Amino acid sequence: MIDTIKTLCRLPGPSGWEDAVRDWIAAEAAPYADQMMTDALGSLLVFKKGRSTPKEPVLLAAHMDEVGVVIREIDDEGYLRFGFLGGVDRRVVIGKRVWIGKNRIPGLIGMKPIHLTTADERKTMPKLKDLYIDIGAADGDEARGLVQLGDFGVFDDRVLELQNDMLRAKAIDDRVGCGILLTLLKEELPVDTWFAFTVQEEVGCRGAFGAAFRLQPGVAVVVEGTTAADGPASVGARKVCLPGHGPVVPFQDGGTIYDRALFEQITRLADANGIPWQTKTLLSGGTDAQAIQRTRAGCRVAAISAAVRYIHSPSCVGCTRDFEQMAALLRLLLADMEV
Amino acid sequence: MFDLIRQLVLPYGPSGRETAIADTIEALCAPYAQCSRDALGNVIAHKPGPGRRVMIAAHMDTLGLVATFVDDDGFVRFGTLGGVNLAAALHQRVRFDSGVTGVVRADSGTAAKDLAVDKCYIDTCGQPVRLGEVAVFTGEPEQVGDLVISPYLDNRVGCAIAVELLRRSAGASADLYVVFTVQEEVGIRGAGVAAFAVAPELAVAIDVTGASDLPGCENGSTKVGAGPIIKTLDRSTISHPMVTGLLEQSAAALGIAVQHQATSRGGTDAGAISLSRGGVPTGNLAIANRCTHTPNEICSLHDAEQCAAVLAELVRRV
Repeated sequence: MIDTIKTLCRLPGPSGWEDAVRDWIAAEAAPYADQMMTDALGSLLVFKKGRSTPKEPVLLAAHMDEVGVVIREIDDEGYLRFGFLGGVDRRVVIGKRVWIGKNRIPGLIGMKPIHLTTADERKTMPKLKDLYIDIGAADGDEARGLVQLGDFGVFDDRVLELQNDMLRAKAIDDRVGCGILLTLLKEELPVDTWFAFTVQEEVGCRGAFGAAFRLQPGVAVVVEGTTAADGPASVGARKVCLPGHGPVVPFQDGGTIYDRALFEQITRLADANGIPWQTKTLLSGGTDAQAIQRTRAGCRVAAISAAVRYIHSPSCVGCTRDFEQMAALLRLLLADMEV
Repeated sequence: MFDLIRQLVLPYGPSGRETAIADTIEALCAPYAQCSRDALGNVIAHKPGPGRRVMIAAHMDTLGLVATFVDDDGFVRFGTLGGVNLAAALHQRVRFDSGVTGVVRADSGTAAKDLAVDKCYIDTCGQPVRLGEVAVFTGEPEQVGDLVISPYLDNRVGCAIAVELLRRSAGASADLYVVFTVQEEVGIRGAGVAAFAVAPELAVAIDVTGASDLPGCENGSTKVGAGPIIKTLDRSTISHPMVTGLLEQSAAALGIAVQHQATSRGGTDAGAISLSRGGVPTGNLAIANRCTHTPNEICSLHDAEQCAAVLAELVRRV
């Protein structure tokens, strides 16, 4: 499963341009799917029968899109101005590599050199208009021959294994969810299950609305990556959650109050089976659950997430042991739903 | 009306944890309507009728403080459910569902202008609290003449109006759905799904609205005790003229003087109901409330009775 997640992290798929990720997942899922379709926005919806039909339709969801950049302007000197797809801290992209468009034109995100800044400027966050992408073009004409306005860009895709089962990659949010869903999809399932690989979560859970409306789930579990801030600057509650301390089961975040009964069921299963779990100590972030919960006449929702450091940056860090435990916890939950 | 308000103010029910108040409300409504509970916990009370399908919504959730972290000394850090007024919450007594009592404090030396949720905590005097548990204000409702002082008149007085409406709906022609919604305070999350299931032809949301009859209130003219408020505008909705018209006619038929309000602050369940499915004509009936979202709110019992009367007349006319 970890190799699947690594492969998925390497694929380019920022919000609105998830094609490469969807194609790969669809090819992997096809031999196992009883039904598979791509909806109008590009979400991939896969149905697989299980040993029994659950009391109400069950949905597992993960989003395929990652944060990235989009080219907004090509100036006459050949530099590219850009905007973000999804919420990205401007400071974390300075000096980072990006790969632009389907042809993967390499570039570097640059900023005004320090000797040209004033003391006041150095105290504040750089403005987006002060950042640019340098692809080494000699002038605007050469640049326009290589990239177009509206091209997407993704961060560097190198995967690094750090100590203690920690993994560095881009897009762990939410290729970890996609990888876990794909792995479960290939196994014998206790109950009929819908798997939704959604699009455009990072720009407002836009794929999840339509997917949930179509599938009409009664129970949905979102499998995600969530923000861990356990670095030296954080104290206490502001660490939010910790990689290596097990799956994160939130009771609430910035967008959803999760179903209490589902939360109790999941955490009870974890405790009974020796799976460590933690919860978020700060009400922040949001998942596709905020869209799914409010679809049609409502749906009961839960989330099982990986604690990921430096989320929404070019280098996410998560713990592969957590990923395995998330899958184990989901297996227990699905088994608990068997009729 | 005071007894009914008291019965509805006391049960626990912050956003996302509405079971106790839902149970109380269902028990009160059961003699008058068929009651059911949906996936998110909304209570839907249906009194069938030959007329148009009408949805009257009152949110039953309250604000709360949710425990997010317990530090090494046992002090509980929290997040807010809804628009909690931190300055008003400071030094107040709060209680968790488990019965654990605590006091809201701010880190020593925090200046008033720096007051923020990450500087606050609850001192539970060493009693343990689980992450995710929610604390609410304590306080016994008190009647002073026509007025009532209590926490959580937002929106348990709205719930009282809705229950009273059901009690007076024997002559109603409408196919009446009175819905007690969840999670309004955290973003109007319950009303939309209830409206999807009910699919009403028109709807009215009942909620409190800020009274402007206190020193220092410059903009606005709403007064406690001056009658039900027909609200035509807030941040969530432009009230549908057809529904506003029905409310006006109903009040006029009973000789009830109403107030009017168009405001740029606040929102109600109408915001979600009006956008449900292909859209629902939705209006707002409001009751003036002093110092909303503080531990001691004040409204008028007579206003509450008159709101119920106006709605009872409306559901006789459709």
